[in-house]
Amino acid sequence: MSTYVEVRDLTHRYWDVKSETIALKEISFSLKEGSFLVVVGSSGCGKSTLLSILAGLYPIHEGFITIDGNSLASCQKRIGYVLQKDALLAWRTIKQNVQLGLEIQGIATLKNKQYAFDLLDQVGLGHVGDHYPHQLSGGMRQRVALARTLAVKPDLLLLDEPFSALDIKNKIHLETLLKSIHKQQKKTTILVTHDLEEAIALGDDVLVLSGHPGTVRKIMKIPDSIKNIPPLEVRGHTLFRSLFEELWREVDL
Amino acid sequence: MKQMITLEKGAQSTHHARFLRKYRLQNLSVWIARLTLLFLLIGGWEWASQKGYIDPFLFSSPTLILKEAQHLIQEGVFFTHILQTFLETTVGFLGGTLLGIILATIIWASPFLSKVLDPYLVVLNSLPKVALGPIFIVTLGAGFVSIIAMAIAITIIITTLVIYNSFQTVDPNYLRLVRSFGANRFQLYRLIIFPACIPNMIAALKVNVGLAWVGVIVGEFLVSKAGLGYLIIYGFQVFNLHLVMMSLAIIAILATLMYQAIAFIEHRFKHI
Repeated sequence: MSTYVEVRDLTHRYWDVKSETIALKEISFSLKEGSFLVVVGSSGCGKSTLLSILAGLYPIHEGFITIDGNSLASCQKRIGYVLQKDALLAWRTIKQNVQLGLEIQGIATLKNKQYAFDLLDQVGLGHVGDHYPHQLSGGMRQRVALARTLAVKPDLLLLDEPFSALDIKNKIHLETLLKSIHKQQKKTTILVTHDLEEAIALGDDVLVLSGHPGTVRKIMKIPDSIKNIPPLEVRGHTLFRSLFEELWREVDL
Repeated sequence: MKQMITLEKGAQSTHHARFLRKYRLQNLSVWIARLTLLFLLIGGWEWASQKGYIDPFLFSSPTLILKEAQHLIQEGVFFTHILQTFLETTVGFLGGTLLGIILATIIWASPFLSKVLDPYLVVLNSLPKVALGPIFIVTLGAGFVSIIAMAIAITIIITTLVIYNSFQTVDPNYLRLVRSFGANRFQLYRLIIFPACIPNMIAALKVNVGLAWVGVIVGEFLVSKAGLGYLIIYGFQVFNLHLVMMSLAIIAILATLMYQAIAFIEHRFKHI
């Protein structure tokens, strides 16, 4: 398959009155269509910054990013972004939340809304469509957030530590759900996490960022035997321990 | 025994019944104490003035106040005065809140403008707005419009500051989310900022009811020929303190009713 996402020599700086901070330095990597990349690194290494740039929330100053050969700016509406906090609108019902992206992009047709509600069913929450977010648990809310993002049919799915606020049971449940949706829809996905187990359980490749400034330390391939089994089983796989230790050595404190 | 049963109504176990009885008994005793206090205050006032412990000419008494009200009702002006003040206050606090929200929106729409206007808002906020009274009277005439202008002047700046501040403290995750969907600034406002701040707007309404009363009463002191503020000033000038006390009592009742009405609206929005 062809290269889908291309990041070349991406450097990102923050400024304040007193100083300049280089958050990312000469980041380069590419991603094949339909693949799943996990970015890991210690906190403050710039991994969330990288994702925010990909999501179009920060401007690109140096370097370039192309998606399917087009510049990132022209692809804004084809990118889906899931945050660590579910950010469900408290004053809207779950159904109304799931169709938020459709409304913003002006594509809230009956057909698209139905697709959004089908996604809600798929994440196992069709029965709470008329509830308000505060009536749902953290894991349920994050599932709604995932459905909300998928509802706009993004070509590229970005997830910023989406499961890090969840307990282990919910986390693995959501990992399993995400992995099966990825298998089924073949959507190119980039997930940022500090959880090394999660990285091995989900990714086709794991990109290790080292911090201050953020640079690519290593890109690790996950073997096929692990790629095709559910996240819970990955954690018990014979290859898991050695992969974990390899990653452990690469990630800064 | 019968009372015990109603106190324990809906109990699901004996422990729950004990809890319910205690809870309801406490609520009941609070209400009984409140009413008793009210009765004692009014009764004590009446008693003290009839016995001559306080001078009814200076401090009036409940029956004298009622007599005064009856007199005004007979003259057919009682409700005219109340309605006048009620309308002025309502228009004032709704207008002040609405204009404050609009002003906050304009400032939010332009971060540059908000920085430029910031010191001006601070100065206007510190200014005692009733001091503007003479200017309103000269420019808007000695009447209804000036009084409403006074009520709006008192409420608008603080509303602008409070609402603009609440616009800025909306959860940044909401903003990242809708921006990632490609929302423009107008969508950001319509879908996130405005609905997220509705509770703050209702809270502003609650505060503004009280402030608008200040504006209206002071306004009526200065210019009016009708209304409760006028009755207070008139009663003071002819030394009819029953009239002053009666006006105060009506203001207390009206202000409470308006506050409760907004509290009720607030409750309706409470699913957030």
